[in-house]
Amino acid sequence: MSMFQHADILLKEAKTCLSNISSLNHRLNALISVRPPESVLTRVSEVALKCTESQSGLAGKLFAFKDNFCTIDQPTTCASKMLQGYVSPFEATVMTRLYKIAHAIDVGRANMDEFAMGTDNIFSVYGPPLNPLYSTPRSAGGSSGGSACAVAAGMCHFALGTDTGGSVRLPAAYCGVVGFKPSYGLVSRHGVVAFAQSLDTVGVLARDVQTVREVFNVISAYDPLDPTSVSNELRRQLQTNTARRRQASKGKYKLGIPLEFIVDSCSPDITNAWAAVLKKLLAQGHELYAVSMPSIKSALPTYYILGPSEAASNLSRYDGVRYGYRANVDRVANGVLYGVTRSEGFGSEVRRRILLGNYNLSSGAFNNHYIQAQKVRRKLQLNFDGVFSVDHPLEKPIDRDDQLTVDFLVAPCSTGTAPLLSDILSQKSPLDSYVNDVLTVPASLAGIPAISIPWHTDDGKVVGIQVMGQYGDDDRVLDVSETIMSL
Amino acid sequence: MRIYVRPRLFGTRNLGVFRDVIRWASATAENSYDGLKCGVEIHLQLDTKTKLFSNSRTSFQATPNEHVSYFDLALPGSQPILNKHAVLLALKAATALNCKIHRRSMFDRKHYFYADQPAGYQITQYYHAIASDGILWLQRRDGISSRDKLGVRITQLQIEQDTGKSVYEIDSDKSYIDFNRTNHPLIEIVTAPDMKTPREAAAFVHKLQILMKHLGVSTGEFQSGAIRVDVNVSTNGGKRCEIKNLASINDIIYSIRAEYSRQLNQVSQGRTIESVTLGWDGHNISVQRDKEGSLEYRYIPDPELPPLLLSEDIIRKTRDNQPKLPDELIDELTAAPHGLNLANAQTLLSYGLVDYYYASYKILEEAEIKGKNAANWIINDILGIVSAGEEKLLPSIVTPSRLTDLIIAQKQKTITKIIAMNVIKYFLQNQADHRVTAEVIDQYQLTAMADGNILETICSNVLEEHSDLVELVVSGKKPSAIKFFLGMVMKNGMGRFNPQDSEATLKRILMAQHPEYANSQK
Repeated sequence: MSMFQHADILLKEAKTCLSNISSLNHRLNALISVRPPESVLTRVSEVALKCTESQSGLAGKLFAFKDNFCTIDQPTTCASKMLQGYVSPFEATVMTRLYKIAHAIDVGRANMDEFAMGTDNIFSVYGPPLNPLYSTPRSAGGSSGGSACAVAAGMCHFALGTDTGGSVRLPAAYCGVVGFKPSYGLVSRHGVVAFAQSLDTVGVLARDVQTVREVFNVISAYDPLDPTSVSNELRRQLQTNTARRRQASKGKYKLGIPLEFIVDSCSPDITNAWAAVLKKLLAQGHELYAVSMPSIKSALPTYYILGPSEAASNLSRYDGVRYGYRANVDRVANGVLYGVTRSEGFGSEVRRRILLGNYNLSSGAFNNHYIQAQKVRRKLQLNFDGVFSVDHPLEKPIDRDDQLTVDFLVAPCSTGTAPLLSDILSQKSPLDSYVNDVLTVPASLAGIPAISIPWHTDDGKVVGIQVMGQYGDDDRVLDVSETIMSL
Repeated sequence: MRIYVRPRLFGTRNLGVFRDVIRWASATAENSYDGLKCGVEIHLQLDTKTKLFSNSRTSFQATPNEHVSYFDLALPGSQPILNKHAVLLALKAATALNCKIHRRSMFDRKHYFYADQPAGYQITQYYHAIASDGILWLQRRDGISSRDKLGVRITQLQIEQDTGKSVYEIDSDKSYIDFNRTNHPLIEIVTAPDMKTPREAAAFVHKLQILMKHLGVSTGEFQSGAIRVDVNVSTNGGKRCEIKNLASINDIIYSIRAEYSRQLNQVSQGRTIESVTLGWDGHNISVQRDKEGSLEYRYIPDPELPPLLLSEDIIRKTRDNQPKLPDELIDELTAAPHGLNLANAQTLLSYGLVDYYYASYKILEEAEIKGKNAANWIINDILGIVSAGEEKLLPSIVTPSRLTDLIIAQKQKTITKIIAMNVIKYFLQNQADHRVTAEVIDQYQLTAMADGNILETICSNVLEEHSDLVELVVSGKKPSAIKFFLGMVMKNGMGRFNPQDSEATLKRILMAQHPEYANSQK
């Protein structure tokens, strides 16, 4: 294909995206700020003329990014009143890599739950995005609801989100797109506004696995500015492992059904879809095993102790003194310093989680809650190590019976399909939303790669099927995803 | 109510602060402080180029907010990157204090809201500090008087961030924050309550300052805020009270005395001592806040910082590479063959000039020049003419070989002492000139002159110019006025004539011109 033909295609795709934005965004509310279309097209032309098709698969492609990735040209607000108008003086590393290495072009900032806390994207200062698959107002999932919505609505080729307890996988499941959470530490978090730093992971959303893989390859790199970034040495080892394992498995896998993921709250749509996928995989010649990880039962409360604790810590910086929203007074008579600013600047869910986190960190509760939760987290990771046939690259190998181990786990992502927004808003307790995370938090706590693949049922529904792999086995998790998508 | 009257401050010269300490340390024995127990908590700024978790520069009195990075301001999305040099300095400090080094230590967040704490938390080491269980030994020459030896136990040494600085303006309802100091690396050193008198506490702090400065860990100065001291005081096994933010050695002594009195007063009036936090304003001790109603700090290990793991290798290397410590150096300097007195030995040490002295001494020894020349020149002469801080340049500019050349030349009467001092000043002001002493002396024709004719002429001229004063000398009304003439001769002769010759010549001329003076001199 000639350079001009390629440029032509890129421009055509870009125009389609931009047209979708202009016709749909007003209703869907996926993007909370939109780049002027002319500037996007100009950029596409520039890039198209400079890069050939072979140079970078993402050159000239359009993407949206969640409003918690810092850029230097527009405010980064995290969908919060607290950061309205805040323009960061530095850019997130992943943004720089997408701009400068991939030559991708952004179309705007995606809606999200405030400070990434939420499962339906209803806690946004901009209002919720709507799920584009339905005509009734349904949840796009959270907290990366805007990113999933933008991809599903054809507003861009791919989007960036963050996944702390399922915030990329759940919206991907609801909106019928691919949502990938890589192994913790592979993608730099420098310039990503922190919610819970030991859980936050940059994730990718797209309509196909190939695009996800291309984006992942660009953004997965050692970053000396991120203290939790995985070293080049380990990355090389992971690559070697991948090559070796691909050779050994020859495309046929041992897949695990985690028994603790069979929960009562799962709707028939979900369990039927799960069963259908497994049947097809079996028919294709893969092996299926039932596996048990007892600590999964404690995963949800563990997450809701650790996540809010870290959040309470990370959000202590928002006081309006150096940046962000500041109330008219720093304190009312006999009041707490910054109490007014923080009560007014934070939304209800953020305030709830900060209170919960502070409670868990207070000296009375610390040993019983926080320390215990950390211990359970460790146990959960060991449970995963016990079922995967692949060793954890950072741990001493543990004894396990090869007969009873699997390469990957296949499970649902959510307990139901996208709920009606009216149902969510009429919930009695905010905790009712928390249980949505039960299937996604295990992989978050263990830091292992996990992905949601859209599975279309015979009766026209779309369900997210989750694949999880051992820490560092990201490339092969994507391999399995491709297999499932082609079933 | 003034509880203790603070004496007049001793005068200060460039040796001043140090001399003060020697004076109080060697003064008469302290009053008895029965039942008193003191422990100290010291915050020491580490002498690193950059901050603890970011690479903005450390500074003192720089333009406000000139050395501030994204992480220092706790901008969203900023992250900590550990400065390993800070860890090394902490390790050196812990080793010199005979601490147990923990191969695995962690960084924790201590949460509280305050304007000078941008993140809303301080990164410190609460649960697992880098070192503990050390000891520092004091002896009488360190300023303790009630016993021969005191071992002060170090319970913990931890690495942590410094805070920013609040600046209050008079007549304004605004306060300002300077974040230059935010995230400056600190070590906090906590001791057991092993000190039983105010002087013991002061001696400990002072010894620690000298030790840390000697190691290059910290400048250890109060004036720049490199050292901040809190003291815990208890009497007769009662609850302890904390005096915060003491800003000098004297403050330590006087505040402990005042607090001891206050506690005894309380008890004698039948009240129990409550655990309170106190402040010292230079004259009075005052209660600040209830220590027990302390803040809930919600300590949590920092999720982004991995445990600090030290290899056996680095711990061993730090121990093996430890330079001679002050105690050993003082022992050496005060013993044969150097035989310096304690004050001079301490001076050399406190100015970091021990190696410089040793090198100069060695050269002179090899040239078979006997006597305490190197020590006398450095301490009595050179330190008197350099400005504050300039002494740091001596080893590299007025090198031991340049210095000893001057000493030898003066001993051989090639040049006078005054010329030598001028040459030293010349070296310091002309650092680009790398020539040896002899060349400089030659070029500027600084050699001592013995030409009697020239000296005669200079003396005659001086006496003529100031004939009014001649009368005072020869009449015997003010014989010491001859010193004035001598000064003029030295000046006009550019210091090239030695004082004895100059004075002899002056007198000879006067005696020749004024017979009555000649008679009075017989």
